[in-house]
Amino acid sequence: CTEGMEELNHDPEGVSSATAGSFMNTAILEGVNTGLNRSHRLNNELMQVTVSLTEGNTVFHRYVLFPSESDYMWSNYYLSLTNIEDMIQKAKAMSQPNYLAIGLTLKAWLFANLTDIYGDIPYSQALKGYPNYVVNPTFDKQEDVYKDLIAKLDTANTLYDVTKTLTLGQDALFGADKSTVGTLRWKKFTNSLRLRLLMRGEAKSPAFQAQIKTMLSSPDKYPLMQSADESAALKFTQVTPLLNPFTSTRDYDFNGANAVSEFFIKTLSTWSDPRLDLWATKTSGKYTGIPSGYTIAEGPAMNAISSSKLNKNLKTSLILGTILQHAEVEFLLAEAALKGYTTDSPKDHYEKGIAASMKYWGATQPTDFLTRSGVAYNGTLQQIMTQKYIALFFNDMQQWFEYKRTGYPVLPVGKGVENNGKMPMRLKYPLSTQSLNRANYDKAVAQMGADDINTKTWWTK
Amino acid sequence: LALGFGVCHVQVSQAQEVLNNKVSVQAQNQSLENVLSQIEKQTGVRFVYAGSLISEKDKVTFSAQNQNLKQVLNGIFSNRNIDFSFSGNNQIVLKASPKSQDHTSVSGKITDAQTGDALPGVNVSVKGTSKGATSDANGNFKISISDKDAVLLFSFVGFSSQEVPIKGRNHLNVQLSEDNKYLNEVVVTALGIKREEKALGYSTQKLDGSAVTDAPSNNFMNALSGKVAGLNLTKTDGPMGSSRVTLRGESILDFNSPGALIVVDGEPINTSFQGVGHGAYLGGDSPIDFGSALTDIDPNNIESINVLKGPAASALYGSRAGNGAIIITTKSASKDKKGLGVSFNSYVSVDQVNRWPDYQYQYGQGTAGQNYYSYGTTSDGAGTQSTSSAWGPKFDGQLFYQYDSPRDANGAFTERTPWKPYTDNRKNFFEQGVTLSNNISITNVKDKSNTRLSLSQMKNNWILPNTGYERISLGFSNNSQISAKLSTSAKVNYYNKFSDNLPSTGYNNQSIMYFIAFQNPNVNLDWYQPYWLPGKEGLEQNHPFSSLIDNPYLIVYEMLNKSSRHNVTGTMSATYNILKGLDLTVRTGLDMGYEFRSQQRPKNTQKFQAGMYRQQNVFNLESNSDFLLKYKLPLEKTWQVTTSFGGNVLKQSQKFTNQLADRLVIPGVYNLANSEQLPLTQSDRAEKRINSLYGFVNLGYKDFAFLDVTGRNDWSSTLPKQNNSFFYPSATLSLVLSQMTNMPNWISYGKIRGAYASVGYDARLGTYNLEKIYNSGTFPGELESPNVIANPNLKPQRNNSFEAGTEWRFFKNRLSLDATVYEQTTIDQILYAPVEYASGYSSSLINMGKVVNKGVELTLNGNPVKNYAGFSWDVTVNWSMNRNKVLELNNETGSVILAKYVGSRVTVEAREGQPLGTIYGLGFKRSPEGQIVFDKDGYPVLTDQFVNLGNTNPDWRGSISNNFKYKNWSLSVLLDIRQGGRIFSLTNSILGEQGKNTATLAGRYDGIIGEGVTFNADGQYVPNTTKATNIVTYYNKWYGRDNVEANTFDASFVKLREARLAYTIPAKILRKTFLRTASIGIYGRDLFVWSTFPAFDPETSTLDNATITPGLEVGQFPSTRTMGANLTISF
Repeated sequence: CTEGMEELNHDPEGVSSATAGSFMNTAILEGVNTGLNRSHRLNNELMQVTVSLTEGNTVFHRYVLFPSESDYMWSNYYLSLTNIEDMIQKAKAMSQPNYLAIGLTLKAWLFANLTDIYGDIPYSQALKGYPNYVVNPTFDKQEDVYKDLIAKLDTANTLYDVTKTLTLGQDALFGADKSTVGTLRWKKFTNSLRLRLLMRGEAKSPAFQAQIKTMLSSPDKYPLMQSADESAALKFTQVTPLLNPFTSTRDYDFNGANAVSEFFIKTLSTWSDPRLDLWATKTSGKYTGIPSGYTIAEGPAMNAISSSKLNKNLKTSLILGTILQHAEVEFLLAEAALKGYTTDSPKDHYEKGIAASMKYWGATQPTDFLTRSGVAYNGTLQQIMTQKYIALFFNDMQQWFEYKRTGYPVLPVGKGVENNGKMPMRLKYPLSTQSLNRANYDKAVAQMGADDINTKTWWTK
Repeated sequence: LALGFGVCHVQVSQAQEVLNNKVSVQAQNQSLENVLSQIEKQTGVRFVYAGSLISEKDKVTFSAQNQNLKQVLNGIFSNRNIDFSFSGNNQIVLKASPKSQDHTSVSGKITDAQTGDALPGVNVSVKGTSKGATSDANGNFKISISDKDAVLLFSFVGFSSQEVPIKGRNHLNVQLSEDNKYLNEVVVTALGIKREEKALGYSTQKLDGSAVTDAPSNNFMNALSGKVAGLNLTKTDGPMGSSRVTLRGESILDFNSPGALIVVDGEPINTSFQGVGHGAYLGGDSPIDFGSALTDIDPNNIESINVLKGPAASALYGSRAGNGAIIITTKSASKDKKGLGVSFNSYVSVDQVNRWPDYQYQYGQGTAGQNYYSYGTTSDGAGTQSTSSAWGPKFDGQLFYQYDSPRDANGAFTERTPWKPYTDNRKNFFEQGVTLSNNISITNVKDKSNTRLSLSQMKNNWILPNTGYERISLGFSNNSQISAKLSTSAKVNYYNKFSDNLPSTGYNNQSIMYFIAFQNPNVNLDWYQPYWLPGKEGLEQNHPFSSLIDNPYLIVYEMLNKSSRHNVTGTMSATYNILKGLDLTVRTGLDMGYEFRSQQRPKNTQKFQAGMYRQQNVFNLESNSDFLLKYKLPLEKTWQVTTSFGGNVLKQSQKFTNQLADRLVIPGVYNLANSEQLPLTQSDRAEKRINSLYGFVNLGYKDFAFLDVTGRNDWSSTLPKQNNSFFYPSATLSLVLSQMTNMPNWISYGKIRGAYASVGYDARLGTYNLEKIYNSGTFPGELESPNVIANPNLKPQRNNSFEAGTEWRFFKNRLSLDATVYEQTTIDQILYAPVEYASGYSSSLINMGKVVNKGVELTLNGNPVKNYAGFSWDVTVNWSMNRNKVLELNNETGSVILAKYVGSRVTVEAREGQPLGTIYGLGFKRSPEGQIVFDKDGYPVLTDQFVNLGNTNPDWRGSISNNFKYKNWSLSVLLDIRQGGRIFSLTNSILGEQGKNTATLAGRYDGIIGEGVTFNADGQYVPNTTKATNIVTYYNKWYGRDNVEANTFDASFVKLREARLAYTIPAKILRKTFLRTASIGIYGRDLFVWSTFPAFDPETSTLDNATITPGLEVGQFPSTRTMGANLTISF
C-alpha cells in the first residue's frame, strides 16, 4: 500500500543539493536589509539622526526600548547566518578557498553585529539546528566571540587566492565573478572588517592591541580598502532583487512619522556640510530639526513644527546598502594613529575619511571644507568620532556601537529622556529566547550580571 | 335522492389526462347507469360496455368531491367486478373482471391512531395488483379482492404505511399512525452509507435543504448558524463571507487547520484557499477573501445536510475526520413525482449596514486642543489638514480656511467657511448591496432512471461600490437501475465564480476600512471626487488631506482584485448485487478547482507608487476512488448483521504560481508585459496520497440494540516510511429503550447511545519534512536554507474521543430532546513549534501537544400547537457548550502562538493549562485590589508583561427557532445567541487613539482624572487625583494599540438571525394553472444585533493570508442585515 509514496514526500519545488556559491548574494542582501531596517528604526532614533513624532512604542529617542524590539535583529541575523554557515560547509567540502574566505567574512560581519547589540550570544553552539538538532545553544562570552571572529578573519585573509575569480555564480557585492579585482576587494573587506573588530576590543585586550600593530605594519599581508570604490556596499540597481528595501515603504513610515533631529542638523549645518542636502529636506528654505528627547507634553508642539524630514530620495537611493565603507577604515586608521598604533598622521586619515564619505555620497566637498570651523582637525578623538558618526549614516547600527565604545559624538539629553538619561548599552535578549532557551538564557544573564539595557558588555566603555 | 355534479374543465386527449380529470359525484342510491351518464356529461368521456355488464338494479351510493376520474371509477367499480380501461377517442371500456366469480369486497373505516379521527383520501391497494381504492370523506373504504388471503396496503402522506392481511374478513377497521420519523428515518452517514437513525450510536443532526434556501445566505454555510448544536462558525466579512467551520471546539493548535470535513456527495472538498496577502495590519499586502470550493456551492442544489459531530461518526472518512464532518447531499430527481418536472427558485435580497461604531462629530481634525484649522499654511497658521486625528477645534460654526473655501485665481483663499461636521461622511460611502439569484431545475423520472439538471445564476453587488461577484452553477444527477442487479449513480456540479473586484481586507492602505478609520469629521466625502487630479488621470490621485490615505474611490474603482474560479465536484458510483445480500459498490469522485486571479494598483498609490500588477494561477485537485463490499448475513429476524470491507485511494494535488510586476511602465495597463522589470515568479506545488483499507460490522438485535464496529488503516505519503501506516478503530452502541421495554404512554421514543473512536491524522498536504530542502533564494539561481528543521521521525497525530447521548420523544412526539456529552483529546499534533533562532532555524516540525475538548450539546423540540384550526407552532432550541484546555505542549515555552497581530502587540495563544485561543497583550497595571494604576502625571500605566485577557471561545451558544403555520402561511424566527468569548478590536483602538469615537469626548480639553490609584512618595497606593492634561496622550495610553486590555471586549451577542414569512399558494388555486406548487416568502437575515461590542459586529475574525483567525478584529467591514424575497414554483 505504500508504493511510490516516498517519492511523493519530497518537495517538488525544493532543491536538496547546493554549492558554495548558492547562498552568497541572498545572504548579503538579507544582512544589508536587516541592518538598514534597524538603522532607520532604532539607530537613527537613539543616535539623534531622527526623532519620532509619534507616541506609542517608537519613543526610542527617550531611551525607551520595548522588549519586542529585541527580536528583529536576532531572528533575521541568525536565519541569514544559517545560509552563510551552509556556504562555509559547502566551500570546505568543495575545496573552494575563496568561497570559504568570503563565508568566514560574512559570518564575522553578522556575528559581530549580533554580539555588539546583545553582548554574550550563542556562537559556538549556534546554527546547529539541523542535522544535530541543537535547539538550545549555550551562550558564549562576547570576548570569546570576538577572539574567534578575529581568528576567523585572519584565516580568511590567508585563504584568498586573488588570482582567481569566483566561479560558482555572480557576486553582487564586488563583481569577483567577473574580475580578480573583485577578489582582492573581498580580501580588503575581510581585513578592514578585522580592523573594525580589533579596534572595538582594543581598549580591553592587549592581544588585540598587538594584532592591530601587526596588521597595520604589514599592509601587503593585510591589505585594506584604499578608495571609496572599494567600500563593501551593496549597490542597489533597483532591479529585483537588488531593490533598496525602503522602495516600497510608505512615505509616512519612512519620513512622515519622524523628523530629522535638531542635533544632527545643527552638527552638519555648523560647517554647512553638503551631505545634509542629500539626507534632509528643508522647510521654508531652511533646515528645522526637532530636539530629541522632548517630553510627552511637548508632543503637540513638536508635531506643529514644520520640520525637516529625511530626504525621500533615500528610499530609492542606489548607495544606501553600506556594510563597511572606505571612510570608516580611514577613521579607524586615524584613531589608531592617534592612539599610537602607527606613525601615520591622524589628520591625514581623518581628512581622507571625510573625503571618502563625500565621494561615496557623491557630494562635492567644498575646497575650504577641511579648514572650516569644527571640521579643521584639532587632534581630538571626539572630532574623529563625530566625523565618523556622520560617515556611518544609515550603516546598520554602527553609529550606536561606536558611541557605546567611545561616548562620541556628545549627544544632548532632552528633558523627556528616561532611563536616567543614559544611552542604552544593549538590547535585552528577545522574548523568544527567554522562553525557548531559558536555561541557557539564565546562565548567560548570570554571566553578564543582568539582562538589562544598561548592562555593559565586554568592550563598552 | 339528490344527484349533484360539479363542473370541471375537461380537455381530453391522453388516457392519463382523461383519468386525471376531476369529477365530483354525489350519488345516493342512484342507478349505476345514471351515475355513469352524469360522469360522461362532466368529462366528455364515453363508457363502452356490454349491456349485460350493468343491471338497472345496481344502485350506487358514492360521493367524491373534485377527485380524479380514476379514483372515482376505482371507487365505483372496485366492488362490482368491473375493470375499466381507456381505449382512445374518449372511450372508456368496461369489462367484467376476470375471476369475477371469486370476487368479494372488503370494506371498513380508516382512522388516525392517535386522534381517532376519520382519515379521508387514504390509498388502499391490494398488494401485488394494480387494484386500488381511496377512502371517502368519512374514512370509509371499499375494495374488491379476488383472493381472500390477499394483503391490503394502506398508505397516506404523513402516516406510516400499513399492510393488513385480509384473512377472509370482509370488514376491517384500520388505524394509521403518524409517521414515526425517528424510528425509520434514514440519514446519510460516513462514506454515503444510509443508515436508520435509530441504529446510530453517535450524534448527528440533519437539516433539509430548506435550511439554507428559505432565508438564503450567499455562502450557504453561514445559513447554518444557530441550526446545529455544537457547530461554530468563525466568519470573515466581505462579499464572499468565508467561514471556518468547527464542530465541538478547536482542538488543533493551528488556525490554518481545516476544521470540520465537508463532504459533497461523498467527495471531500477543499475548504481552504490559497491566500495572497499576509498581515491584515499594515503588512506587505492586504489579504483578500477569494472564497473556496465551499463558498461556491449553490444552496439551491442542496437536498440535505447531515452533520456528523464527532470523530466516531466520521471515523470512516479517515485522517481528516477527527473534527467531525458535514455531509452535503445535492439534489436528485425525486422518485415520487414521475415524469417531467420543472421547478424555479428565485430570490432577491438587499444588504444594509446594521451597526456602526459610535463616531463623534463634535470635534474636527487637529492635534490636541488645537484651536484653529487651516487647509495648508495660511495667515491662520501652519496647515493642519494632514493630521489624522480629530482632537482639533470644536464645531461651533466658527470660520476657517478649508478645502472648499473660495479661492482666487492664484489658488489663494479669499474667504473662510464655517467649521462643521459631515455626519454621513463614512456611511455614505457604502451602498445597498443587492443579490439576485435564479435557479431552474428539470427532473425526469422514469421507472428505471431519474435525471435532474439544474442551472443557477447568482449575482451580488456588495455594500462597497464596485465590489461583488457572480456565480453560475450547473448540476447534473442521474440514478439508473441498469439491470436487476446493477444500479449506477452520477452527480456532477460545476461552478464558475467570478468577480471584477473583491475588496482588500484589514487595516492597510489598500483597504477601505483604513480610509474609514482615517476619515475626519470635518471632511466631506465628496471632496474625494474625482479621484484623479484633473489632467493627471492615471498618474496622480486626489488625496487632499494626507498622502497616507489613498482616495477611497480610487481604491474601489482602480485598485482591483479580480478572480475567476472554475470548480467541478462530482462522483460516479455503481452498485452490483453479486449474490443475495452481497453488494459491491465502486465509486470515484473528484473535486477540482482552477482559479485565475489578478491584483492591480494604479500609479501613485501609497503602497505602489509605480503601479502594480500580479496574477496567480491556483489549481487544486482531490480525487477519491473507493470500493465497498457489503454483505448482509441471511439471518432470522432477531439478528441483523452487515459486514463491509472497503478501500480508498486519495490523491491531492495543489499548484500555485504567482507572477509579480510590482512596477509598471504605462499607466492603466495591467499585464505582465507592462512590467518595468522582469516579472518575479513564485511557484508552489504539492502532492499527497493516502491509501486506505477499512472494514466495519453493523450488528442489530431485535431492532432495538445496535452495535457498530469500524476499523481503518491509512498509509500516507506525508509521513516517513517507518511511521506512515496507522490504524484506528471506532465502536458505537445504540439501544432503543422504548422498543426494549414497555414505556408509559406519554413516552413515544427513548434511546441511549455511546461511542468511542480513535482517529489518526497524517501531515497536511505540502508538509515536506524528511530532509533539508533548500528554497529558491532571493537571487536567480540562488538558494536559501529553510527556516524549519526537518524531522524524519514524524508520526501521525491522534484524536481519541468518547461520547454518550440520549434521545427522547414524549406526548406523541410533541416534545423531543436530544442530548450529548463528549470528551475529545487530541495528542501528538503535527506542528511547527518555534525554536530558538540561534539554532539557525525558526521552527521545528514535531509532534506535540495534548488538547482536550469537553462539551454538551442539546436539542429540544416542541410542538405546542399542532394543526389546531389550521394553526401549528413548532419550536426548536439548540444549545451547546464546549470547554477546551491545553493540557500539555511539551515545548520549552509552554505556549504555541496561534496568531500575532498589530505588530505582535496582540497574540492568540495556546498556553498550557489555558483554553486554546487565549488572548495575550499588555493591559492596565493594577493595584492588588485591581484598580488601574496612574503615573505621577495622571496617565494610566501599562503592564510590563503580556497578561491573559481572556479566551476567544464562547462559553456557550444557543438558538431558539420558532415556526408558526396557519393554513398556507408560515412564519419562522430564529434567534442566535453567543455568550462569552473575547475579541480584540483594532477599530476601537484606532478610533480611540484618533479621538474619533464618543468615548474620547470626556476631558476635552480641560484634562481628565482617571479613576484608580497612584503611588505616593512612600510608594504606597493612594487614589489618583492628578489631572492628566494632555488628553491625546491620555487616550492614547488608554485606547492605544499597546493597550490590548482596553480594546478587548466581550463577544457575546444576540442576533435576530433569520425571520421569514411565507405563503404557499393553495393547490385549489393552482389546479387551474399549469403550476404544481408555488410559494413566496419574504425574509431577513441578521436583522438586529444586540451586543456591547464597540465596532461593527463581534462575530468576526481576521484574515491572514488564508487563515481565518478568531479573536481579532483588524479593520472589519461593516456588518450587514439582509432582507429579501424568494419565490419557488414547480410545474
